[in-house]
Amino acid sequence: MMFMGSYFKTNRSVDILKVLFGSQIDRIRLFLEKTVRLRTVLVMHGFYLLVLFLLFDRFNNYLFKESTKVSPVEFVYILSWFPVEQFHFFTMSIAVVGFISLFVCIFFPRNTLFSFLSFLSILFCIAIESSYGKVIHGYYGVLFSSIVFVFLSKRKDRDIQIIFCAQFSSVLCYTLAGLWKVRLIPSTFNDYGVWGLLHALGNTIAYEHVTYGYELSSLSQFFLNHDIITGSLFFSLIGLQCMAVILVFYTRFHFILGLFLILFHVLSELIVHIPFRAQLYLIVLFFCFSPFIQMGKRKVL
Amino acid sequence: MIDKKTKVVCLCLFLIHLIIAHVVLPQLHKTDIYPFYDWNLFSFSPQQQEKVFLKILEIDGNKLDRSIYIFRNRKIFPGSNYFLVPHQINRLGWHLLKNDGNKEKTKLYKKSVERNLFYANKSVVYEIGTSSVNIRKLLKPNYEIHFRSLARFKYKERPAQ
Repeated sequence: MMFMGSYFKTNRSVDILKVLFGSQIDRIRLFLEKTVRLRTVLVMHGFYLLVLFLLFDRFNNYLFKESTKVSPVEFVYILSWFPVEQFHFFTMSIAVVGFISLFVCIFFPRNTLFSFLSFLSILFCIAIESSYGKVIHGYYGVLFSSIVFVFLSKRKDRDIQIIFCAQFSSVLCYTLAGLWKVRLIPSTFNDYGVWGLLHALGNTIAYEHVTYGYELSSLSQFFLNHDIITGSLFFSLIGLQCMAVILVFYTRFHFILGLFLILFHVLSELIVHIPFRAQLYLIVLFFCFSPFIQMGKRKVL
Repeated sequence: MIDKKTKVVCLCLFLIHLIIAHVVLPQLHKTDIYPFYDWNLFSFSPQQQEKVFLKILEIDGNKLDRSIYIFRNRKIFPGSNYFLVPHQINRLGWHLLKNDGNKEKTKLYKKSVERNLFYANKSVVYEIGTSSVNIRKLLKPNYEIHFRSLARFKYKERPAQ
């Protein structure tokens, strides 16, 4: 009761943890303070390990495809002019360079040459994958973070700044997506009224099931039948997406932000069958193991 | 902990992406200029939508009593499991609808749809068309699609070389 009393008086987020963990809170605080450097190293090395793991599947997938004549993105348009043999040679070269550079970067992430080569191989790999009729935007967070990691220098005190920039780059897409939704609220309201807004997510669930021929699960059916719940979730999501780039600056929210974004991706995959695995793993690495997570720090950066 | 320089870099990154996604790309009527994307994802889907459909009329010389739609018959055409196929069908439909004279593009989309979808069949006669449908009612198996045909094609397996 004493704990509850102090919580309502001070309303501090740390007090919630006191209620949950009791006397263990000091140990957890000490553990978090001691592991700041460990988490920084984990994020730097883990990023390249994650990218190697993610691109392994991609390299395997696109190596034996025909030339990108179907719908080449601007970046690799020139490749569509080449005959298939030369196209295969080019993709094979990217795969080899990508593998070597990513593997080296797992152990030496500060090596500018190899981190730049890693970035280039990710850039080309996603460009080629996006040239068959659909842009693979699920990997854009990984791509933009990889640009940031090129700037890792020998000065260890700068690591934390680079990691913050990478975290920021990885959540940019959420805010841009959220702002589109906010931008389209007035026209949707004029055209379809309040119900048009509330039905939006339900319609998306139906659209994805129709397009890809998925069988409707009982969970998807539930959300399809309850537009009030689905609509509320949709508006909560818009709020979270729009606030993402602001919340990154409040380091005490990193873990919570990470959890909500993970929840969003897990529900998207369960209900709408939209897999954003690369982004999901990136959020887990950047926000659940964020070196900025410290208990009791209330200061805004 | 985070210095001013980092904050300025982050702000610049955000502004660059914001301008490209919300100003440049809509002006160019494009969704992406690699590696930038507009991120207008599932903003608001209306219930009534114009969609492209692929209807099968004949498989390996056997005419079908009731024509079948690809999205409802994934087991007959396992190639439709490939996630790019719906997008390629969609692009093919819109190219035919626009009728902008880009025959090369239409041919490429047609080829990739056939290669992905009909690899297990010797010959298939199919139709591409559009229809304005209620996206929710479409999930019900008995919902009838009033289909406006854009083109009819015949796919024949190429002899082995």
